[in-house]
Amino acid sequence: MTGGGSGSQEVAAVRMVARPRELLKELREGPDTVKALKAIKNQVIGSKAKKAAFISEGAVQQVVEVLKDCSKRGGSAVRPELVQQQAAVVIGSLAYGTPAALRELAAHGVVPYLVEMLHSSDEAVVEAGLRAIKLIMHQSTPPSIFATPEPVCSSSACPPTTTAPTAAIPTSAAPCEAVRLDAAAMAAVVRCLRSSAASTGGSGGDIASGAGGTGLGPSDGGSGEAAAAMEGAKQAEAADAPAAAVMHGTAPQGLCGSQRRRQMAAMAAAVVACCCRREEERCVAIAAGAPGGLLQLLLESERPDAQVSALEGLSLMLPHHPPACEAALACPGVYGRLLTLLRDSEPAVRLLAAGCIATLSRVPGCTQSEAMQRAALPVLLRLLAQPATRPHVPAVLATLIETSEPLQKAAADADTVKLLAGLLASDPATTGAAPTAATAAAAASPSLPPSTAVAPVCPSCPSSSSTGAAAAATAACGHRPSPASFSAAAAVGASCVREGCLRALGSLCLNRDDSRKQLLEAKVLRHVVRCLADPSEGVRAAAAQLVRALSRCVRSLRGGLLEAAGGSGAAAGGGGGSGELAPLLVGLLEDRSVEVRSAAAAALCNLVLDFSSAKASVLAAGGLPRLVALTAPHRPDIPPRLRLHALWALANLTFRADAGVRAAVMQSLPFSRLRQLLSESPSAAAATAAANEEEESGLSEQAMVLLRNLCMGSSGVGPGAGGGSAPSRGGHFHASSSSTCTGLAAVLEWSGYRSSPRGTQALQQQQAVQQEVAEGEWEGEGLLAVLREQVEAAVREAGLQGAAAEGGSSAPSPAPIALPPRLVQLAAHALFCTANLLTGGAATKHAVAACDGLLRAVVALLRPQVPEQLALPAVWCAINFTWPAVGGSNSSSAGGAAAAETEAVQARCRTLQVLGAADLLAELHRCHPSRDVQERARTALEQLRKGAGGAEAADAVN
Amino acid sequence: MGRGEAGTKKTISLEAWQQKLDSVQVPKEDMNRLIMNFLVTEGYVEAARMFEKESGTPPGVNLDAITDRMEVRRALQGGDVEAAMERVNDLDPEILESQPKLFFHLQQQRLIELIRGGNVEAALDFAQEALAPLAEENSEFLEELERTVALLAFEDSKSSPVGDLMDVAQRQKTASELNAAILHSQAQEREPRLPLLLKLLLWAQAQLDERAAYPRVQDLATAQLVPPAKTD
Repeated sequence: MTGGGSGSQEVAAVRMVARPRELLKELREGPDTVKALKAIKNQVIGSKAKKAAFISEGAVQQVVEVLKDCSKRGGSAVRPELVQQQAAVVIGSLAYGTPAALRELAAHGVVPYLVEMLHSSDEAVVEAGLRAIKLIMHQSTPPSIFATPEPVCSSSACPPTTTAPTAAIPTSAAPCEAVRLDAAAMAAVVRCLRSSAASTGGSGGDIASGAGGTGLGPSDGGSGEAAAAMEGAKQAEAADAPAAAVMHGTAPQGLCGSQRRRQMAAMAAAVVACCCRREEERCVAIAAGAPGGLLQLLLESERPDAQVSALEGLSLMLPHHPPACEAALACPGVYGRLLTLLRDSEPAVRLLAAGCIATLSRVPGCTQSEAMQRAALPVLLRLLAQPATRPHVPAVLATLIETSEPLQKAAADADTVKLLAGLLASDPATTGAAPTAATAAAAASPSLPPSTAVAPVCPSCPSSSSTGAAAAATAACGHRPSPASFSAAAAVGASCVREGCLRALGSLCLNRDDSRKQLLEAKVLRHVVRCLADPSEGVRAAAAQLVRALSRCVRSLRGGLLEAAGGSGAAAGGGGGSGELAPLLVGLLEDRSVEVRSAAAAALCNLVLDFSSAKASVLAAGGLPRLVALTAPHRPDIPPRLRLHALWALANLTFRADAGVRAAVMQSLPFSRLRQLLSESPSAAAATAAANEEEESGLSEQAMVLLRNLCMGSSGVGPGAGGGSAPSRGGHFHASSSSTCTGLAAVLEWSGYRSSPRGTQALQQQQAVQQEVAEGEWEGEGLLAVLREQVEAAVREAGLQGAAAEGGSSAPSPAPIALPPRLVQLAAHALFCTANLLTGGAATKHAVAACDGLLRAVVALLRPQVPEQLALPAVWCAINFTWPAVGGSNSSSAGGAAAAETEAVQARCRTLQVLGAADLLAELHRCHPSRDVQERARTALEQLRKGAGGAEAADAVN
Repeated sequence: MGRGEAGTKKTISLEAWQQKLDSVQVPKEDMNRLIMNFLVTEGYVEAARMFEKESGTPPGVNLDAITDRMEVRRALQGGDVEAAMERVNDLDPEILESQPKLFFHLQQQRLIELIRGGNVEAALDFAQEALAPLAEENSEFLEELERTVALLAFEDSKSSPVGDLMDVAQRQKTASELNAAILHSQAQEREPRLPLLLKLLLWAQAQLDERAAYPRVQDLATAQLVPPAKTD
């Protein structure tokens, strides 16, 4: 045994030293092409040095020529099938790990000739062609998550890992661009996939049949045993216990009857999976019907490598192809299979299975989504805890928990925030000042598609509608609808890890204060803020979303975000405080990605609510015109959600803002735009989805909030956006400064109440304006018309129109009227707006008094059956209406004006009385269910009677 | 094991243990299947055929299908590494391509066979041309290469400190590694069940050692039960 074959060793030594040049010469001129090819094959396989030597001698071109010759001459070659086969093997080997060869192969257009082999009737030829395509695609696509030092399975051909930096295979984008499969090629591959996957039984070509020196000849034999083994395998599958089957020695070994077919299916699936890492080829694969084949393979194949490839391909395709999701969910076996794979011994398989589950569980038709999500979460959390798999987990986790608060809670309880934060902090790109070359490359690479940009590129995949629907479903949170980044996580590394972390953290922090707290404690906000300027769209959107989630909590704003932003700004020489976060977010308002803009607007929304410094810095950064631009109607690039967020941000910007801010808003935002936002009814504008309607109604509400905030007195008068307590601090109204009056006059004037120069000019001309207003030169109702419309709408809905005259003597306690909450809210805003306007100067009061319709509508709401939300502000309107104007009563310098105001008060009180307000207020005082309304009604009544000149009024009340 | 500890352990006598063992029924068919699994997985086709004839145990696979694997093994164990590699490349060109360690071990085996054949010049040429580039990329390979080339330094390489490389066991080891890789490429089990069961036995005994004194299997080759030492 030990002494065997010294002769063959010498031959080996001689052959071994044969130079590439000589072998290639033999290939060109020798009589036996197959023999020469095999010699080359045995030299280059496994040896990078040999590959390089052959490539430098022009082996690639020469072998490709041989392959082309075969195709041209067809049967005229001595053994064309064998030549094709061996040439394909050599080509695959040369491509393996050598980008230079890959480029050359692409330049020589080798793929069509390999694809041609797939149509051969000789299975060995098909197999060789498929294998070469697989190796080429494997080298020319971004690495999968399986690119670990220990190959998961040998036939999935992981690139060899080497320690020498010079020899390391570059996985950069350059060679990745070399070879792509077109539709015809993909169709051929998918055909292999489907036909091989379909062949579950029958005649088996034994791969291991020792047919001469080739060992590749198909032999139809052993069908009896194979069939029996197949039966066993099927039973094992039915029992869903492959391990048990292996224990009894029947399963995998018994499959060799159709082993080649199965192996080919696995290879075809591997090709498809590789292709799916790139967006365009994913579309091509979907169009070629790959999802069905992969699904079949996933469910029926017992080969682990085939299942893994199928799983990877599906995990990349499902998020972009709803029909495939539905098809998958329609297979009863898919749940069980995925749950089984979720327990696979290989972490990457578990991860991919979790990815599929995350996608499928969010498909509306999924019947077991909760069970699946619950099964996947602990698996993911364990994978997150392991450093090796950690980077790939966040994106999947984000998709899984995005729509489920219980899952978010479960994840948060497992210390996920800390792990994700640690991952984010360890990312060199977020810690360095500038994005690294890698991230720049990742951003530039077309292989990292933003989920939203998929649709236009790929008309064959109806992904736009699905992402749209998903977007609608999650619209309230403003989440990224599609888990495209999961697929990218396999593909592009660093930026996807970042995006996944940020998205998952965004989900965790959106509604959970303890998660925000944990994130603050992890001290990674600096990284988050830096990610706002990341080259990758997905990262920016996710970062903005996380900032938005954090900005929901004032503590995290004050204690963390603003500081973090200030810190990074200080490094760049900028100022501290909110000065840095605001410009970053404002900059994102013009981002090319809708997701980014929307999340940035939402974050700004919260940022400007409470911090006057933030308001100022948003203005200074030029945020105002950008926000206003985002409220434009009928723009396809501005979805309703984004409009809402932008308008909301404007409304919050004006909340408790000083006169300067309000003036600036009015200058930038035309009143006509606001009117339009109010008039866009939910039914009119694309109210296909419920969420859309919500957004539309949100628009009109925020428009009213904006008006109401604008009508607030100067800073410190009271909250406008939140509760209904704004004008309830009655005492303040008398003390309103004259700036309030001018402010209100400016609002009226801005609203086109009269035509005159707008904005700051108007402010400068305030005196003149007031003069003119006092003289009553009105050219339109402007704001007042808006208020009238809103209040009248409520009156109409409540059926109270024209009922003013009959007030007073009705039943003691009529049943409260139920009104649609949206209507109530809008009317309440309008009423508070009116009440606030009435705290203005004489001219403003006069203007309101002159608006008969508004007055009638307000008085109509002074009823016991009107809900407090409307009755109370209506009473406040009455109180303020009957109160002397600020300019009149407080101005000691103008006695004449004071006298005029007294007269005006009398006139206004009489107007109210004519409308029957006195009786209505008395009634309200007597029997409105709200104590507050009762009290205020009495105040109003007293004032009304006093103002009207009757001392008996007060007695009557008491 | 300390005195105090020993007292807390349960002691199981040989008789009681034997009784327990006797109560476990292992069907003969299962045992046969384990053996057949070993023969098939390791590629001993002839032995499997004989065993099938003698015991009536079905091999579970088409034995013809493992002929190639067997031939690879035979070539390697016969010292013709190159033939084995060519055969593997015919079988599945990705096996050696994607597993650098296996590829290195086969090339190393080739070098060993050249040294065994006494062809020093050819051995040196081969080491330089085929192995040195691999070792350049991997320090682990470099170390192994150095060990292998050291064989040349000794007059009687078999009794040298690196003599183990010249042993039949080394061929066996390489053959098993290659066999496992082929099996894996065919989506089959890499290892037979039998060694796994023995590992399981050792692991279980190690676990049990902490809790009880019992009749152990000390020597796997004989499987003789050694009764526990008496504790006082």
